Amino acid sequence: MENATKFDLEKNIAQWKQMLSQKGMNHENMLELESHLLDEIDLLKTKDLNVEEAFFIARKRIGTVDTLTEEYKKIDDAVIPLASLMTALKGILLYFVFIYGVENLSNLSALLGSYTNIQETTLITANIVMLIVIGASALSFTYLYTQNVNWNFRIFRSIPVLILSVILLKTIHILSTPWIADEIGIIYYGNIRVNFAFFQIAIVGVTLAISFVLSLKNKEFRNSIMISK
Amino acid sequence: MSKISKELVGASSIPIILTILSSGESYGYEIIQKVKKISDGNIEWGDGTLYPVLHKLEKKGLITSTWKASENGRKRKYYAISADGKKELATEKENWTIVNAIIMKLWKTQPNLI
Repeated sequence: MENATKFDLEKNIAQWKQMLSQKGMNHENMLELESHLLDEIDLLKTKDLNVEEAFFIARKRIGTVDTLTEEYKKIDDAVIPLASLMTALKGILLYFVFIYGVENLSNLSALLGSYTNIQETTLITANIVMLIVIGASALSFTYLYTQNVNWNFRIFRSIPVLILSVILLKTIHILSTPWIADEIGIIYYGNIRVNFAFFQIAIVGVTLAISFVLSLKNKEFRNSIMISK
Repeated sequence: MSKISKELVGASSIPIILTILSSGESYGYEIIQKVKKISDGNIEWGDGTLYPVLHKLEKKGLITSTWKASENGRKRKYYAISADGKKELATEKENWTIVNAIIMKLWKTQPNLI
């Protein structure tokens, strides 16, 4: 009797690929393995095996999902130390770009504010609001960025661009500070600096809190892996 | 004949792959078939485990890869040996010849050691 249900090769290959992908195999490696599997199936079919038998034998010969992903990981692990160091370095540079950028923006807005007729106390309050808004948007942007894998901001990942930005922003700040302080009055400028100091403390505080939560989560995750092993 | 040890298979995989590629570009499946045939089945690579080795060689710059459509329209990743790969192959050849010569000499002069 023939098989009641027809064997669906494409569906079975798709399932196999999904298992590989769940174990962290990347798309290109998967395509290469799929091409290998199809070649093997073709060969087995010439030896009088039907598609279903050919598929299961070919899948067995290529190796289990675990063996395959482990072998690939061994190769990738060799480059991880340097890669993770670069990621950390980019994070540090990005932090400086952000802080120096906000510092300049804060000074610039104070300078522009001094040219208007608005009262100084109002301007200082506006400065505080601006810093809070910037801090909150930076945090939500970072959160969305970690959630959305499709966002690709190459410019943030280029170390030369980051280094140049740090140098440029700090130079602008150093050169413009005496002039701005003189232009808007030392007391108003002092207030702007105090606001900025609080802003930095807030950023440090939030970073520490996030690090703490993530380290706890990481520990939980590791424990659950140990138990399942 | 018993199977060749895992370590020896691993160590010999680089000169074997480079030698096969030095006679023209090839893809993973074809390389595996060639090795099976030439070694009379004495060298058995877990089929899927060849690919990470190929990728390692590519990272080292010894081989290059390109995706191409084959005669039946299937996309395959073809590997070719690079200039650095040819140099590496020359070194490997020297090393394997030296090791082979040493072992042969020892076995000839002290056959009772076997």
